[in-house]
Amino acid sequence: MVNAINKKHLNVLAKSKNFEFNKVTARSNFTINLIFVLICILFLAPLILVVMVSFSSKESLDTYGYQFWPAAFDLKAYQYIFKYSYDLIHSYWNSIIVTSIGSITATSIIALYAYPLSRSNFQHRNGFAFFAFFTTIFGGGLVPWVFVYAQLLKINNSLLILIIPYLVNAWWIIIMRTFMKQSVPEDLVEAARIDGAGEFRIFFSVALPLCKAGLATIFLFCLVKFWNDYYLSLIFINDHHLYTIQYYLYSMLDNINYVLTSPNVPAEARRNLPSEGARMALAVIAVGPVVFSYPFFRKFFVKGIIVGAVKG
Amino acid sequence: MHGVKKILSFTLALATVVPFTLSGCTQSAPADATQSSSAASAASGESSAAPKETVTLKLMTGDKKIQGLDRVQKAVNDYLAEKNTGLQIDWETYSWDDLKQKTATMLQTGQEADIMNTSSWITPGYVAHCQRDEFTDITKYINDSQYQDVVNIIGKDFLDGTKVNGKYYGMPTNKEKAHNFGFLCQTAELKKLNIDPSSIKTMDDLAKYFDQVKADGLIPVCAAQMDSPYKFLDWDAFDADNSPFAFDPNDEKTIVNPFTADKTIAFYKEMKTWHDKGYFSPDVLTSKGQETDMATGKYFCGSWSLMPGKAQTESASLKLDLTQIDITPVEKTNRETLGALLAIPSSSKHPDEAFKFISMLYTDKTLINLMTYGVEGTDYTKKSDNVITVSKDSDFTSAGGWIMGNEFNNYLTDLQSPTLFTDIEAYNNSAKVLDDLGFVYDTSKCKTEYAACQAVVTKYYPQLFYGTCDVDSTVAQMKSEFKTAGIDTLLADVQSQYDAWVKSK
Amino acid sequence: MAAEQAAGIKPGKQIGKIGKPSNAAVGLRKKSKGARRRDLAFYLMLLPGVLILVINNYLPMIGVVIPFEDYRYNVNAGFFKSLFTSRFVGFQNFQFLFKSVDCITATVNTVAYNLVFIALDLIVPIALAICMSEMWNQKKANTYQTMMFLPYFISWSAVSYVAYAFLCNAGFIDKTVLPLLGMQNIDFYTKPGYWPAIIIFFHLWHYTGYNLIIYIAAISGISNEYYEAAALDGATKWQQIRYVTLPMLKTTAIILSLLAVGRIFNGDFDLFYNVPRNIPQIYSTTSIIDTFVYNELINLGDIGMSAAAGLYQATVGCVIVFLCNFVVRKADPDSALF
Repeated sequence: MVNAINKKHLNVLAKSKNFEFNKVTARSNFTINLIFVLICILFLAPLILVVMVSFSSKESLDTYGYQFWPAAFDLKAYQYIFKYSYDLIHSYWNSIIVTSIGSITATSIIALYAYPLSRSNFQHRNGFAFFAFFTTIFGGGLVPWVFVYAQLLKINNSLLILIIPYLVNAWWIIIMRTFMKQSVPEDLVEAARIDGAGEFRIFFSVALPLCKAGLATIFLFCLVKFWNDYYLSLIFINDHHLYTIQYYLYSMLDNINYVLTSPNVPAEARRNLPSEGARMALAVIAVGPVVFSYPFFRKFFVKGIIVGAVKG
Repeated sequence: MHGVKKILSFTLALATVVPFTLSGCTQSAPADATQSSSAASAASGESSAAPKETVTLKLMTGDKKIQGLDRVQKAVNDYLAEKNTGLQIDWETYSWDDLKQKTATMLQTGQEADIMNTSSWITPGYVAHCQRDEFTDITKYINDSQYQDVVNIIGKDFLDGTKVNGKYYGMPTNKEKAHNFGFLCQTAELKKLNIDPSSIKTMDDLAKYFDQVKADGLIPVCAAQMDSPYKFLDWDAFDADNSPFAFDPNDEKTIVNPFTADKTIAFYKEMKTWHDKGYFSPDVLTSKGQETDMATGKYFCGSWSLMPGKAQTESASLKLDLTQIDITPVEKTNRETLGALLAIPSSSKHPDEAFKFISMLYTDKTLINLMTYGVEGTDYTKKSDNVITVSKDSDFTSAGGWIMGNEFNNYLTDLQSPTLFTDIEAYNNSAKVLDDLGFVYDTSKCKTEYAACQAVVTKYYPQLFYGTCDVDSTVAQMKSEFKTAGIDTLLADVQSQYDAWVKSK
Repeated sequence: MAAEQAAGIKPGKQIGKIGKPSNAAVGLRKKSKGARRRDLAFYLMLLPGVLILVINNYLPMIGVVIPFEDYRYNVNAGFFKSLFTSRFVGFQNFQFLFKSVDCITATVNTVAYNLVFIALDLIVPIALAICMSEMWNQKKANTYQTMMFLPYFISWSAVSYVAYAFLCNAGFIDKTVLPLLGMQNIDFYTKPGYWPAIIIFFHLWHYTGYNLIIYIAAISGISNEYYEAAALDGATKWQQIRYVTLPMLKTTAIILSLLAVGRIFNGDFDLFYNVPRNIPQIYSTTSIIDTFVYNELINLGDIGMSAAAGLYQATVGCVIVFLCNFVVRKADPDSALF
C-alpha cells in the first residue's frame, strides 16, 4: 500500500480525510488535543529546562537546583563562557567550515551517484545500487575503519577527516534516486538526447533543475548531520585547533572546570564560578542554530523522509 | 535554468578542488609558526639525511589546559630556530584523562606523533605500549656516545628501571626518585579550622574535620578516577594502577590482588560512609581531572603523590594556596622510574630528531624553563639568577617540571624553598627501597587474562572508591567476575615471573 | 558501519529497495557508439561516490583479518604490508570476549533494547498518527507534529546535557519532583535499575517525530472512499480504525520493523554513549555492543581484542540481515530487501 503514496500526498501531509458526517465527537476531539498538548509539553520541556538553567543565577541553582522558572536570572554563565572559553569561537568556526564544505560536496556526490541509478537505460544501475546498499549491511568494524584513515590515508587530525566519512550515504542515494525518478520524466531526457545533448549536459540542465527540492532535502540532511557530529572528532581529532562545536560540547560535560579555571580568574572568585549554568549555556549555543532554522527546513525533511519510505 | 547550471558546475568544481586545498592547509595549520613544516612533512622520507630541513615534532603532554600555549610554543620555536637546531614543535597539552583516551587510540591505530607523555599510572600504561612495540626502541640512542651526558644526568641505574624486555623505550623525567602520598589542603581552610598540619598522621585524623569543612561550603575531598584516598593504602602497584596485582610494602613476597584484599574492602566501606555524608562531589564518578577540579577552589583537600615542596609547586600551578600533609612513608618503587616519561611513538617519522629534542630538555636550561614557566617578562620576572617570581596575570601555568626533562634545571619560584634541590636529595636518600624496584611483568603469556582482569578493575573501581554502591554485594560480584576473567592464572604467572626475577638478581 | 551509527539519520528507519536484476537481454546486444559514450559519462558520475564508498566502507572490510593476527603497524611498510606481515594468531583474540562477562551483558542488552524499540516504534507512532488524522483541526495537528519532530535535530552531545539537567543531583527531578512527592533523592547515575526507562524515554523522545511522519503520510495515502463506505455501513470510528486503517498500514509497518530486526545487533551508539555518560557503575543496563567495542579500544589498548569484538558484531549482524531477508522472501517476495 505504500506504493499508493503518490506525489500529491507528499505535499499535503496533514490532509484531512474527515468529512462532516464521519467526524469524531467533540469530546474525542478535545481528548485527542489534550493528549497532544501534553505530549508536546513532554517533548519540549527538556529543551526549555536547559535554556532556563543557562539563564539561572548560581545562587538559585545552588539552593533550588535546576528549575523551569529560576528564582533569579542572570547572564553570568554566558559572560564567563565568552570571556574565558577561547576554544569556543574556534570550534564554532570549524563546525561552520566543515558543515558548509561537507554538505555541498556530499550533495554533489550523492546527486552524481543517484542520477545514473535513476536512468532505466543504464545497464548496471542495480549493481551500483547494491554496491552502495551493501555498506549498510556489513562493515569491517570500528578498528579497521580507523586504520584506513589513520594509516592508509593519514588524514586523521585534519578537517578532511571530519568530512570524508560522511560524504556518501546509501540511504540518501536511494532517496535522491527516487526524487529523480519522480521528477525527471524519461521523455524529457530522451528529447534532450535527440537534440544532441550529452549525459552531463542533460544532468546539469535537465535533471538537476527539475529536482531542486530533492537537492535541497539532501543538502539539509547533510547540513544537520555534519553540524551535529561529535563522533569523528572523538575518534580522530587530537588537536584542539580542530575541535568542532559538538565535540567541544561533548568534552565539556565532564570538563567544564577546564574552561572556568582560567588562571586569570582570581582564586576567591573561582569558588563562585557558574559551572552548572555554563554547561547549559554551552549546550544552548551549540544547538541554537539548528533549533532556530528548524521552521525553515522542516518541510524539506518531511518530504525526504516520506520519499525514503516509498519503495523505489 | 542557466543560473542553476552555473551554480551547480561551480559547486562541483569546488567539491573536487576543496578537499585538496583543505588537506594542504590543515596539515600546516597547527604549526602556523613554521612555513617549512609542510615542506618537511612532504620530504619526510629523506629528512634525516638533509639536516638543513626543518622538522616539526608533534609533542603531546598531559597537564591542565593552558591558554597561553600557542604563545609559548611560538617562543619555543623561535628559540629553536635561533639555535639552529632544525627543530620546531607542535605542542598540545591534554588533561590526563584526555591524554589517556587520545594516546590509546593514537598509539594503537598508528596515528602520527613524535613525542608523548606516558607513565605507569596512565592506563593503558607505558609497559603495555612497550610490549606491543608502540614506542620506538631508543636503546641505540642511550648507547650513543653523543647522548652520554643525558644518560649521566638521569643516572644509568634509574634509566635501567625503565627497561622493558631488555630495551629502553622512554626517557624518565629527572626528578625526585621516591614518593609518598598525602593530602594537599587549602591553607585558608586549615587556618580557619585551626588544624595543625603536623598533627595529622592518618587519613582519619583529617576526616574528622570534614563535617566542619562541609558546613563552610566547601566540598571536603577532591578526587577523580584513580586519584583517590585509595592511595593511602599504599599498595605497591608496580605494573599499572589498574592492574589487579600488587605488593603490600610490608610483605614483599606474595603478589595479591589489591582490589579484593581485606584492607581495601575495609577502605571501600569507609568510603561508603564518606559518600553518604557528602564528602565527595556529586560529579565524582565522571570527574576527569583532579587538578582542574581542585583549581576551582571549591574543594578542601585531595590525595596527591608528594615530595618536598609539592605544595608550593601545586600552589603556583593551580594559583591556590595549598599545604601538604604527608601520610604514607617515603618509598622508592617503579612508580618513580615509570612515573613520568617521554616516549617516541613508533609511528613517528622523525625518531632521531625527536630524541634530539628530548635530550635538549635535559641539557638546555633555557628550553626547559621556557616550557615550564613561559616567557621571561610576560610570564615571570627574574629575582636573581635562579629565582623567579611568577606573574599574577600570566595565562601560562604548567603543572611543573616533573612532566618532562630535567627538573633540577628549573628555576625556583620565590614561593619555593631555596634549598629545594638538596631537600629532594635528602628525601631520595631517606626512602625505603622496595624489593621489586625494576621488576617489569611480561604480559605475553597471560595476555587475555591480563586484559580481562583490567577490564574488571576499570568497571568496578569508581563506584567502590567513591562509595556509590553497596560494598558487600559489589565486591562479591567483582570477585566472581575476576574469577571468570582468570585472575588465579594471572596471579600465579606474575608470582612465578617475580620469583624467577628475584632469583636472577 | 561505525560511521553509519554516528549518522544523524537512522538508516534502519527507511524503506529502500534495490530492484531486481535488469533484463539481461539489453546487455547481449552489441552496444552502439553512443551508448558506450553514455555509459562512460555515467561511470564518470559514479566515480566520486564509488571512491568514497571504497575508502570508507570497502577498504575497512579487508581489516577483518586484524582480529586473527597480532597486528603491528609498521610506519615504513604502510598499512597493507603491515596487514599481511603481522603474525597470525588464530582465534586467540576472541578468547577475551568469552572471558569477559561484559560482552555477554552487552549482547543481551543490545538485543533486548532493540526488541523493545521495535515494538514501541510500531505502537506509539501508529497510535499517535491515527489520533492525529482524526483531529478536526488539521492545522493544529501539523503544529503538534512540528513540535514532536524537533528533538530529532538536537545533537546527541546536547541530549546528554538535557538528560543531565533532569537527572543530576541538582537536577529537576531530584530537587523539584521528588520533594513534591515526599521522596528521597535518587542518584540516577549510580542506579542501573532506572536506566532502561530513561533510555527508552530518550529513544522515543528522539525518534517518535520521525516515525510519526512516515505513518501520517501512509494514513493520508488511504483513499477516503474506504472510510465513506465503512461509515455508510454504520461502522464506528473504532471499527474503521480496526478494519480500514490498520490493515492499510500493515505493509509499511512490516517493512519498517523488518529493517529494524535486521539491525538488531547494531545498537544506537550515540544514545547509549552520551545519555548515561559512560559511567561503569550502570553498565549492566546501559552497555551495548557498540559502546563495549569503543570502551575496549580506549581502556584495553589492545587492537586485536577490540577488532575481534567489532568483527563479532559485524558478522552476527550480517547473518541476521540475510536470515531476515530469507524469511521475508519466503513469505512475501515484494517486501524483501534484496
